[in-house]
Amino acid sequence: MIIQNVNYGKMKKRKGQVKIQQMAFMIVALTILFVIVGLFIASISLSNLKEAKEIANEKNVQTLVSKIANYPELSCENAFGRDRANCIDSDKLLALMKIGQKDYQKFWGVSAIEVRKIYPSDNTTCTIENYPNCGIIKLFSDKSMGNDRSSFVTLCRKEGFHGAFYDKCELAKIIVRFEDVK
Amino acid sequence: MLHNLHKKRRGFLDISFSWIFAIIIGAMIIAAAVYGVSKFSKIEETKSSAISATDFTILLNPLETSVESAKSIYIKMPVESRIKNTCSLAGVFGNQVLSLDEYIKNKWSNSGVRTYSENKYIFSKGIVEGKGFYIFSKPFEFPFKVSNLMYLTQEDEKYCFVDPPVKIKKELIELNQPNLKVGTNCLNDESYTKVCYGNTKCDITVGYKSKFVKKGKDVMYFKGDSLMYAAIFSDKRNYECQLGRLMKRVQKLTEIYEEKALNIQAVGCVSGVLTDLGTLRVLLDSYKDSEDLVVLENQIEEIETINDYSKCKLW
Repeated sequence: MIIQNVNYGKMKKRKGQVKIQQMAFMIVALTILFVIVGLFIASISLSNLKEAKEIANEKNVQTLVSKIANYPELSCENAFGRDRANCIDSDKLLALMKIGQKDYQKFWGVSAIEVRKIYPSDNTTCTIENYPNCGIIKLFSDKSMGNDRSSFVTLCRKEGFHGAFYDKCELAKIIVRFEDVK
Repeated sequence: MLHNLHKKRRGFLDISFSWIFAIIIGAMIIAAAVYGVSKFSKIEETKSSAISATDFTILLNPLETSVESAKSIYIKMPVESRIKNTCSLAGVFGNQVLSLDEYIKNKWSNSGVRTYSENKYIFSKGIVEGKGFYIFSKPFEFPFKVSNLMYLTQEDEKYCFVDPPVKIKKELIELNQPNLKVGTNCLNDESYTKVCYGNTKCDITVGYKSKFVKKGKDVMYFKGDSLMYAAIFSDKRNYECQLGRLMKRVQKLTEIYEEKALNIQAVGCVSGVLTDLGTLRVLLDSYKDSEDLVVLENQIEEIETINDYSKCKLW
């Protein structure tokens, strides 16, 4: 006959320990679940924020592109006979290329501005040396990719002819580029 | 008996450790969840304020005028908004700093998010509050066009212009902005801020010929109508800071015009203002506040006259 000496107190204690362990696991699992849900909500919120920033950028460029030709740094003012709307002074653009054009990148909050002659068309990029025998004037030509918006403008300059000068205006397009939100 | 007493005591505190543990951890999880939700809603409020402030700044882009002399727009916000208008002189052009708080759930959002803009000049009181806002813009020339100045007023902030010069009267009538009245009809209405030309017993006194605007103890000097409006609608701090930013822009534009003048000389277009532009640039280096406008005035007028009568106009 085997007499088993059962210690009920110890068994009860072990059972309690198992219960606590179960609960601890449950709590850890619950915490992980909450963290995952939190991260999920945060990622949605962040993507919404990115989208909002992109929309704001686009709105800014859309409104800016139609008005940028009226900024005194680019506009013709009265230099070509009369006050003209949407007229860009290419002599000013060249001056801007020479002096601190980088300062103006932050000023307009865009990554690049390009003015392309449409008629007569010319694909040569303007430099101080080849101006005005060129067709594309680039301001702060940032290499980064991005979306752009454009608007038609008149591009005017002073042109010399046999010792005299006259106003020459051509059809052009101003392209404003803004960086993608990373 | 002792056994019964022991049983009774256990009954009194018959909560097992696992229950206590669960209650504590449960409370901690609930507290964390409540904290998370409140934090999240605060972030959302901040986000909303930041988006509104950015949208507000973008809405001002069309106010960049070309041939128009003045332009007015009305902006209605979706909720009651508080716009804090500050200015910074740091950097090449300084910054227009705007922050917008929205009145949501019976309290102001207090987001503290600021939007910076180098190409805008908004003249207003430090804090403008309301649902509807009027903004009118007018080009500032010194002597060439420098920028469009924007004057921001809340819908219920009314101004009564008493005896203004004919030019100003005509402009304000044509502008047709409901919170700007001209004439003596509004003189006795308490809800209006009186702007008087000559009379010193008003809220704001304008010395049109002497080119100053007096508001209480503050005196601001101006040159041209656009700066006069700027001084009327803003406080001294904002006015002086924005004027400082404008002078930085004038300096940069002077450089551009100097460079342009040199470039077009090659095609036979010789402008007589080149030397004067150089002098203006030097004078601008020592600009401190609106009192210095008097020093610049003669130079500006000289440049303006030379350019206007030149065969080769720079602007």
